[in-house]
Amino acid sequence: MSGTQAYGSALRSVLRAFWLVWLLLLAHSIASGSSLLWGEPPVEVPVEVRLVGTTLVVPVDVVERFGGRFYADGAVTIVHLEGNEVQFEPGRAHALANGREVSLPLPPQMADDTLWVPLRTAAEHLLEARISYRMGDVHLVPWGSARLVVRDLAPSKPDLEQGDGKKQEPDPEPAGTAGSEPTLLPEPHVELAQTSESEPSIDLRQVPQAEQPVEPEPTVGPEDSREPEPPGEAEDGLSTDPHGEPALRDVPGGEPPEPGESEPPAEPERQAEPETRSEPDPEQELGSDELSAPEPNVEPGVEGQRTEEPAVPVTPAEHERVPDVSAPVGQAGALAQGAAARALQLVQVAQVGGGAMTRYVRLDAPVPPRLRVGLPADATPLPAIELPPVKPTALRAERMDWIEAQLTQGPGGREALHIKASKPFSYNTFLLTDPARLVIDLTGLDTGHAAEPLVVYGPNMQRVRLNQYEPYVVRLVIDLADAVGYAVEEGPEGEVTVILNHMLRSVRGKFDTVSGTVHLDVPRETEYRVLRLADPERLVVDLYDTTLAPDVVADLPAEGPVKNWRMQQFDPSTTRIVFEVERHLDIAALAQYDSLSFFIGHQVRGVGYAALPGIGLAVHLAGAQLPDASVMYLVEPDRLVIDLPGTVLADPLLDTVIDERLAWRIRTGQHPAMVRVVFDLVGAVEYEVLRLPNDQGLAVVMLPPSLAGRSVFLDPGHGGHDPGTMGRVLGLMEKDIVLDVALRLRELLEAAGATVHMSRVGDTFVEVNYRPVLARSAGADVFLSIHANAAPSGNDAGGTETFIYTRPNHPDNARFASAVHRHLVSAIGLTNRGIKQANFGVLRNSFIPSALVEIAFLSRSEEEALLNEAWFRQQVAQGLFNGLVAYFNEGASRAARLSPEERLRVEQGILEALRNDAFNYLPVGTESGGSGAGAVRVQPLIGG
Amino acid sequence: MQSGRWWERALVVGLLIAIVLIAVWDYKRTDETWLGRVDYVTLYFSNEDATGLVAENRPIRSADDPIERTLEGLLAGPETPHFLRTIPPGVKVLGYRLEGTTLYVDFSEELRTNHWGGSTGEIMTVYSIVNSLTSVPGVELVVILLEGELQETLVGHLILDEPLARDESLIIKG
Repeated sequence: MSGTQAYGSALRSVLRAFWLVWLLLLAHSIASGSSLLWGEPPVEVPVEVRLVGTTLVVPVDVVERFGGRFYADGAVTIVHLEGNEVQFEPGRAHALANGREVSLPLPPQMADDTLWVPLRTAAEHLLEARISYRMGDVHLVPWGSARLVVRDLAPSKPDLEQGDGKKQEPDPEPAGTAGSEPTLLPEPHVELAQTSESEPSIDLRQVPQAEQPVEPEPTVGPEDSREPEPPGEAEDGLSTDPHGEPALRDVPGGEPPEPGESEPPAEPERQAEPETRSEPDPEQELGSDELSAPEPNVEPGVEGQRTEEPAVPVTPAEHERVPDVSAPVGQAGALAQGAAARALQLVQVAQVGGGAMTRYVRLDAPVPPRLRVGLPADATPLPAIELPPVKPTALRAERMDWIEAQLTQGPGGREALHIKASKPFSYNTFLLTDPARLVIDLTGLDTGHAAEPLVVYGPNMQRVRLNQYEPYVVRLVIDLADAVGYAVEEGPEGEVTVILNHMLRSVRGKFDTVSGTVHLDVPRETEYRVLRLADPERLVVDLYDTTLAPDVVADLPAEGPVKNWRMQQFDPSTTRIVFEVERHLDIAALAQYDSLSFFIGHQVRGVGYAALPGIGLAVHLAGAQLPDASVMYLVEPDRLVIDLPGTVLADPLLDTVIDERLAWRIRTGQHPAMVRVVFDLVGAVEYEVLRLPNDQGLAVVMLPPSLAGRSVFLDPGHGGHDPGTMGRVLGLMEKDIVLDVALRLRELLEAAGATVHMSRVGDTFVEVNYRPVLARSAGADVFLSIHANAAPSGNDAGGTETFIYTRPNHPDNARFASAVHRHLVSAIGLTNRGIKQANFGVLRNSFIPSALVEIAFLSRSEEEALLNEAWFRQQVAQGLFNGLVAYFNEGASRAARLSPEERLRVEQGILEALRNDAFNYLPVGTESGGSGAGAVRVQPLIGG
Repeated sequence: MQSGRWWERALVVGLLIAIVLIAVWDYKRTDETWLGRVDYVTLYFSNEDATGLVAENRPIRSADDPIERTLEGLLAGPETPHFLRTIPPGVKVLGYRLEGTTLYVDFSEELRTNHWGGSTGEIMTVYSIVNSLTSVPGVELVVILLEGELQETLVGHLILDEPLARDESLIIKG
């Protein structure tokens, strides 16, 4: 490389490095929001600002937050900021800004140990900032290129303060100059008192803007006279305002308040404020009468006559929002010599980052008036009532205690009355007739007088009356349309709910001959249970929380299995319907929708199973006059499903793991109009359904599947001088493992009747390409190569994997591999690595369905240990066997083709087992075993 | 001068130092390749649980033979953590020859004798070789020879007696 080239290379390296550093800086800036490129993110620092007359003042210590300094020189306070110096002197209407006399709109004042100076002066002469009013904010915009950040702040409290004795309003700025000199208020004489402590904004809305001698300070700020605050930016009250206009513009001008109303009461009710806040006023809740509400705190008089104590209109909601900026009352007393002052929040945003700096002051609008209308903040909304009443549903009597009664909806949609009192009580209830009424005596309450009766329009409740029955006993009378049972539900202390029963005015039912189902129309969500009673055979339906009307109309079927029926009030809250039926019939409750449905059918008394040697797995379905069963075989997983149409399971039976060779679990369930018994199978089976003599029920026999006539070629991999892979811990050799598995599999296959050929039966080496030739010459149906796997290194790879060679027009390859792989994975439970395509020699050259299974990883120590176990290799062989059976049976068990002699032999075996009690019957469950009946309280069979 | 300016100077100085350091490092790293023109070869190794092949790029000098560098990299094994080597230790490349787009690579017999076996292990080895070499422009088929001889299989599964094409399905992206 020449020197020039090297020089060029170095130069380019420098350029690239420079580029890289710049990129890194850029990325870092983006990630961290740092200031190097576009300024720091705004940092908000709340500081206090006060409104004095029309001028905002800020304490000079604010300049410290802007990075400046101030110090006192005798009476003069010298402020340094951004290279500017301003000297303020308390009470002097001029300041010395950078050596130049400037006039101040307001003389600086000492208060709270700091000097308060007009904001405009501070902004213009210290920050060299323009001051502008936008969107309800006061923005201080320093030197022109700075970016302005407008932050949507929650409105701070419009915390008003007011000095007493407003003798000199130091407001040099008349309203007329508002355009050029942005004063904060258009009206210089506006008093800065908020009015009603509970409903300040309502007052605001009542007071028209013009010519009111006494006008509450409506809002502070330019936003009133200039730009409305956008709704989206405002608090919730304003956002509901369709115009987004400030409060004053919404004032209905035609409704000036009566002078008397405007006059405040003699004492401002500040003390009463917390109570007013905590206790919701019903009138306010209803939101109707606020216009006539008194205005306790409108300040009278004009300026200079102010002798009142300052009102402190801090509403609770405002307190919650800005708890930290509450200026103490009277703090500003020294300030502005009695001028009304208002503490505001100045928010300084952004710290210095390079040259960019943004600061602004936010002056928050007072809380919009509409916030105050409606429910108090802590009122819980009334519960939704679906019942008809639209009239006010709250009734209240109060002197010392209060009681509220409210129509509501009880469980199951029943009519209910919720009673709530101001303190705990005990109660006593009784039902009177002629006219029907429910009396509730509440002991321990003293309300003093009777309340207006509450008229309700429930189906049964018609009126609620309330009076002081005797000292400390309040009597609440519910006038009812009909006498009806009821329940009392106790809530928290001081609350009870009286819940009426459903009134059954008509009970209709019909028998559906097609489905064999009885449908009963009952109220929605009625809880019920069904029972079967013997001698005589009868089926009982209990409907809970119901009362039969005296004039109940009953229309129930007496056909099909139902011979007769009757209905009665079984106990005060239970209606009982009894169906008389024939023997051996049972009843099952079906899903409950608009009506209750009961299926009445033949009873399956029990399900038992027994492994009969030489026969297989036999299942006994006990019951009289059982109909014929239909059998289905389902795969993935293998299941045998036996449906008994027109039957009812006498008792819910538990799922039972039976752990037999052919099936491992039995499940039962009542399906609409039939009983279903499901056997989870180990693999495919052959089955036969027998009807036992003497009405002893049905038997299902499962036989091991037959592979007679099938030919399987097994190819244990490697062998001889080729050990295959080797285990890394125990040193197991693949060739030995796979041969052992293949021999075990051969045994299983041959037991099932299959013909088995093998590529090797000993430790011999067979060429890879020769193995398919052997299979072809043997005329085998399928080719199964058995291997053990290994991964490059490490101990992470593990699991079972099957390889196929995909060849067009040979879909059986995939089906074969899928059956074998699926059953192998489920038999040994290792990680399923899936079926993969590979260009393997043994697969490509055998033109019969072929697969190569890699049982597990000898390179993984856990799996090597498993492969060392004989039981595991037997499981492998069983899984492969199941897969082959599934493949050969086309994924289906089939009905056994038993010869008549065999059939007789099987039947004799079952009968003998029955005589010897060899069957294990499924245990009876205590819960409804998946019958699908939601709210059924199932009662076990009574009698036999 | 206001306070707060000293760190700006420090920052500028620090940046200059960083630029110099990066330039030196970059100059030493590659003296012939440039941004936008870095030559590299792609090597495929087994992922941790041997479910597929994962790529590793290695920069090379433009004068290098990419086939040679690929084979070297495969023999050397992965540099990325958790990637697994696919060539057993002790294997040597005896030679290679490109005929048209078919590359014949002759490995020493340790590729078989030192191999860990297993279908998965064999697939990882064979296709890490094939997929890595077919990443070199101009190579489309690969024939793997052992000691100069064409083999039936490597360790008893995959057919090796024919040119092998790239198998994208084994590659795990990302």
